[in-house]
Amino acid sequence: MSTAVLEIQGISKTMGKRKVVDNVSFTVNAGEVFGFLGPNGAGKTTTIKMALGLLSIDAGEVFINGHSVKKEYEKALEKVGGIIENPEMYGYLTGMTNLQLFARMHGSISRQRIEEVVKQVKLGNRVHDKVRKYSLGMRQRLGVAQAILHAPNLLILDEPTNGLDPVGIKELRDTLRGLAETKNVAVLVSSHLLSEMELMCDRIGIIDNGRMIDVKTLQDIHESTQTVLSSYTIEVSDPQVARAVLTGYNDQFVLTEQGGLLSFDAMREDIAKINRLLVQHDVDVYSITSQQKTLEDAFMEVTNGSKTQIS
Amino acid sequence: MKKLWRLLQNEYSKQFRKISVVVIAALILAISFAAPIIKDALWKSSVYQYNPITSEIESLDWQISSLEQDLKDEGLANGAKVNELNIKYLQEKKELLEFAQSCNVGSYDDWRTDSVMGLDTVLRNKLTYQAILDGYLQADIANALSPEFDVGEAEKLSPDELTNLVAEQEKALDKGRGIIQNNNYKIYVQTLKQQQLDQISELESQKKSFEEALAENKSDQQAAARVSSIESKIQTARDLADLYEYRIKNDIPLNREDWRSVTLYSIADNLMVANDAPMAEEDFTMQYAWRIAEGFTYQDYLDQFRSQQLEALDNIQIYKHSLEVGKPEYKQAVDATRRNALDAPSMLVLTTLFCVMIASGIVSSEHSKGTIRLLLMRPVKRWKILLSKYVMVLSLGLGMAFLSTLLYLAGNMVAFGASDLANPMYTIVNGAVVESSFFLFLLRDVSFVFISVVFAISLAFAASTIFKNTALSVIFGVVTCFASTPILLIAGQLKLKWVMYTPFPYLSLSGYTTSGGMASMLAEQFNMTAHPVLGAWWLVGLSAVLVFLAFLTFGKRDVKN
Repeated sequence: MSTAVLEIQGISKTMGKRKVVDNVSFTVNAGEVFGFLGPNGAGKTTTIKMALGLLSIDAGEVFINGHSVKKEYEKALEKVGGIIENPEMYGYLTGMTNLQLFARMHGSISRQRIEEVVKQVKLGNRVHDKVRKYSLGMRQRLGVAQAILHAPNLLILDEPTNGLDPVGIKELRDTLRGLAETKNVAVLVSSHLLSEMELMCDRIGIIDNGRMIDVKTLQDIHESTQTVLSSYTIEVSDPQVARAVLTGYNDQFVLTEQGGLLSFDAMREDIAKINRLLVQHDVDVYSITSQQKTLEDAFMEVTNGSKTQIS
Repeated sequence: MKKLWRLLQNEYSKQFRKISVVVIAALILAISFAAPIIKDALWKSSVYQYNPITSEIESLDWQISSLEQDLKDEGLANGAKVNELNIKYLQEKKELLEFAQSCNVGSYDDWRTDSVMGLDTVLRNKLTYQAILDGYLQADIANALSPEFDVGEAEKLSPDELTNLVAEQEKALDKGRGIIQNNNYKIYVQTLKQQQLDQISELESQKKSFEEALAENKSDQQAAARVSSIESKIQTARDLADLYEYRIKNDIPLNREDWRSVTLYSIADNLMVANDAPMAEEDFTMQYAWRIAEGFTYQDYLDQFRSQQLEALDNIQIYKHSLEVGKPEYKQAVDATRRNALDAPSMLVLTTLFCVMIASGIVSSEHSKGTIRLLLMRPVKRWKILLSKYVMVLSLGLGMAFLSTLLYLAGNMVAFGASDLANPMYTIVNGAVVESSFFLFLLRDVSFVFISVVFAISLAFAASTIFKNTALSVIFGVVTCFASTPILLIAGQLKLKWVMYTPFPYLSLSGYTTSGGMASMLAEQFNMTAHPVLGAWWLVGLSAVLVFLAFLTFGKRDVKN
């Protein structure tokens, strides 16, 4: 269907005695936004730095556009743009001068192209101010500008939404989606904010403790949460009887009771049967509320599961 | 290559968009231009305008008035006659000096000042004869006038003879006044020459007596030493007489405003050294006791003596050559442009400090500010980035060294005039005087010292790359600029001669240029031989090692922040 732009093949990195990244593999295709999820310290930044050549690769290989980062560094990085955490620029220079410096490192990028990019990230006239006077949002825009200056086909962004206000986050999201959809750019975005990922990613890879746990499309995740993971709360006249009925129906249910409310996880078709059973046992049902599980909940379950596996 | 050029452009633009860098660079260039002018102005204002004639007159006035006071207080008591004679002498001397003053004599390097002072003897002789005629007592005369001859002998002369002698002295005084009034240095030089010739004949007779002693006892070491010592004195007197002759023949006035005259003075100074004979070992043991205690041997003394003598001979050869071709040697020129401009290498310390400042931050600041991440994630190999930074500092150093030298030269031209720069530099190669352009000479000196600039830059740059610490790198760089002298002083005190084969004495090479004087200071004070060329090779080698280490670490380093 689509071609792999970034291929990460079993890379590992040891810092001191700790294995920070352990045999991580995934690919990012042209035109897709790949979310790289994991709690802080999971190895997201380390993986990204290895892909960009900022850290040496202990084992494994990273290919960008078919070129090995280890062996053909310059060719591999030719069409890559990146932001790692806060994009630190030269504060005593103007935004424009900063962009010119980076442009020169990529070879021939015209003044016209620079101005086009400035317009694209909506920096406006502020581009002629010194960077140290910029707000965090302005800096992030300048960061995006330097990343897309040379029209890369792979964008790598590490925690790009850190410190941005909601408007800034939305703008960034739109920019990234736009690049993926219209320019067929492959985008790798890391974050620990799952709600963010849900809104802009096509696929999500989950990393924890240096290991890639799962890679799923957003659709997969939504489907699984709908079929398997729904949480129901019922309000009944007699919780004691209701509890007995529910356990009788399925002894695997984990029930929690709070102020006459019973909560449990169940499938959609189960809930109709349970309702009928309760009525048959003379229990009055005042309300049934369902709570769809968020991606965050799913994520927490997966990572917690991995932790218990490891320990 | 094109990529490297673009990176270099980037590094320049990063540095020169900092106001501090631009200001410091401009300041260094301004100082380079202004330093010679300020130095000249300070020198001129600090030179004490000493006028020996005026101060002598003041002193005479004071003596006369105090003697007159004595005379008034004590009347005809003891010593009155001496005072009388004294006052008479002092007054006549004052008149003589006032006459000189009216002829504009007064500066201490004016030959006429010496000439007037020389007339003092004639004046005292004249007054002595007059006093004998006037019937003063022998003791009083001797006391008051202390003439060159024995007063007792003179008293035996007849009054006519005495009158004649007074007239004769008066004539000599008149002649002296005439020389001063007409500013006729040639006659004065003639008398100086005659003095040397007189001394030669006296020395010849002395020599003869020692030769006789030697003929009687051939193993008389002392007599032999005396003979050779007198011979060297005769040689010096003869050479000096020749110099006076040369001065008269070539119409070279006796002052410091004509370079030829200055050159002749220098030849005379060097002749003393060149013709001197070394001391005998016993004399050496007595005179150099304190240095012998420090390990200075007679052989060391002889070596030093010999090298000084050779240097003096070289100087004389060069000076004579300069007189022949009519272009002054750089130290003898009246416009001291070349002499002062040769200090240009010492100005490089400013360039060094400036470059050390930049080299110290050029890598470490990218780390501390976090810009290293955006810098390194480009499709450019790391060694190219580091090379562009190193080349930036080096080329900046080269440019600043060139500009500051040029401006220093210009400043010297403003302060001392430009014409002197057309004169050549003289060196002795295989016994012959070789002329070379002053500009090439200066270029050679500056290039040599630039090696230590490269070393300081490389050290600060490597420290900045390896330790990622700006302050530490600055310290390293600055220490190299100033460490050599204290290290040498300690090594000299402890007599560690091997230190001269290490890089430490040569960290700053500006001491070893034409105007540096470090090598001769070491030889004279500590009897240690400097090897500046070896030192330069040390610096080149160390720079290469340091830069290699910097590339090794930078290429492999993980960017963790």
